[in-house]
Amino acid sequence: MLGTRFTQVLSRAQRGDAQAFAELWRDANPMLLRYLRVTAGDLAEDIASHAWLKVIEALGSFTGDEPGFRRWLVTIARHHHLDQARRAGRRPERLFADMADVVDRSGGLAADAAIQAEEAMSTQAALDLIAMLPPDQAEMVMLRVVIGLDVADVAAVVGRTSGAVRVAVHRALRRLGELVDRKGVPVTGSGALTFRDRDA
Amino acid sequence: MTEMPDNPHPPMDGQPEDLWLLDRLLAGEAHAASPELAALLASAASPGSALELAGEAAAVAAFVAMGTGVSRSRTRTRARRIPMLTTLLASKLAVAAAVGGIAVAGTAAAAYTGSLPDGPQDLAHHGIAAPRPSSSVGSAHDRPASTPTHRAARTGAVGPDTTGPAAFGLCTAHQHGGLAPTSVAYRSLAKAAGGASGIGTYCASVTHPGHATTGHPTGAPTSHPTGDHTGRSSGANTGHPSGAHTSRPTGAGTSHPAYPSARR
Repeated sequence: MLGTRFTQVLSRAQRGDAQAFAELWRDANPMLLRYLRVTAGDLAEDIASHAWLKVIEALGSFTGDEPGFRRWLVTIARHHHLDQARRAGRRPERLFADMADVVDRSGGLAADAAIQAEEAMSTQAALDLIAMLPPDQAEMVMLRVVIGLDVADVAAVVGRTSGAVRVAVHRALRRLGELVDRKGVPVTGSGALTFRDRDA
Repeated sequence: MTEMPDNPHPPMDGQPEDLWLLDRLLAGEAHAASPELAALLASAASPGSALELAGEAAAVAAFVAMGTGVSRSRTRTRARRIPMLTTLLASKLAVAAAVGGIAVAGTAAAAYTGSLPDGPQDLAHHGIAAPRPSSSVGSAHDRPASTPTHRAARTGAVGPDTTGPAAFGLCTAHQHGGLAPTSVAYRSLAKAAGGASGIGTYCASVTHPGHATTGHPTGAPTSHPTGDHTGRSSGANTGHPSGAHTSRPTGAGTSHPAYPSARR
């Protein structure tokens, strides 16, 4: 999150400042991608790119604070995903890029980036666990935890009441607790990709 | 609450305060109670990785090329951009590029939606730097693949065809591993090259479509952000760890020397 700088950065981006836009993008894109990986699987990068193009298109008319911006961004992406699914006459897919894909794509990275790739894998492991939740719960957890929306904004994005969001997230956490019990926790940090086995 | 990590079925239902667990976890207040959950959520929300930031250059290129901003968002450019954007969104880089000439902004947008892991920066710069008209869609499509030498001889041709920005972009993407063999982009390139086995030769003959940046309103190469001011570690700044390019010996790289200098 850009925090107190957001307003100024947004304003510069709206005036066409590419560096300011880059800041917005760097700040929000990783989280957007993660949200989409959980909700849209392999379509995540495509949808994210489309969403950003729409954001660029309409940035000049956006008004709001940083949570509002994230809500806007994720809503655009969500609508695009749903539209695509509707056009294809199917339910939104949840296909999860396997670990091999991440490893493969990071194969060309230099040393310092390789460390980041390892950290990304533990992030991926966390996302994989969240993705094991029922889709609506997984989405709400991602919106709350990763996109960083508050309960009211999550409720607005998914079209539910705040109370329903709280209950769903509560159930999601309980379920995640069970999954963690069975599978261990993906630990982030120091380039370590390890699963802490509770029984070990 | 505190027994949650140890009890697979904690008695939480019906206890209103439990509904705030996530808020407390996010606020760091319940980490001791649920260290595993806290760690999992922290991992899920950890800072962006180099992979997740690899598309920055392409995104910024799209931003620059599309000319966003309050002043222009509702003016004449809007009517022009939307159909083009729609077309590009429906196709993606290679389809749009290989089928016909696309406009400057279109190239950047297509490069962006192409989601190429390593090529976007090249493509983006190329896209911005390639002032091609957008009026002759289909010309390249109708033209069967000809010999690479013929194409090379046509360097500098004004009309967009597969020797122009499209070919350069496709080759750049291909050389950086951005084209899956099953992708439409790859097939388009293979078709243009007269077969998959000819891609190497073909791309070696494809020259940089020109880097006349003078016509561009914002001067993309110089305005391209380095990302340094965010304080992220160097690997994440550009998505292009140093050496990534130089470590890829590509015959085509030498045939358009303008590309490396334009890139940074």
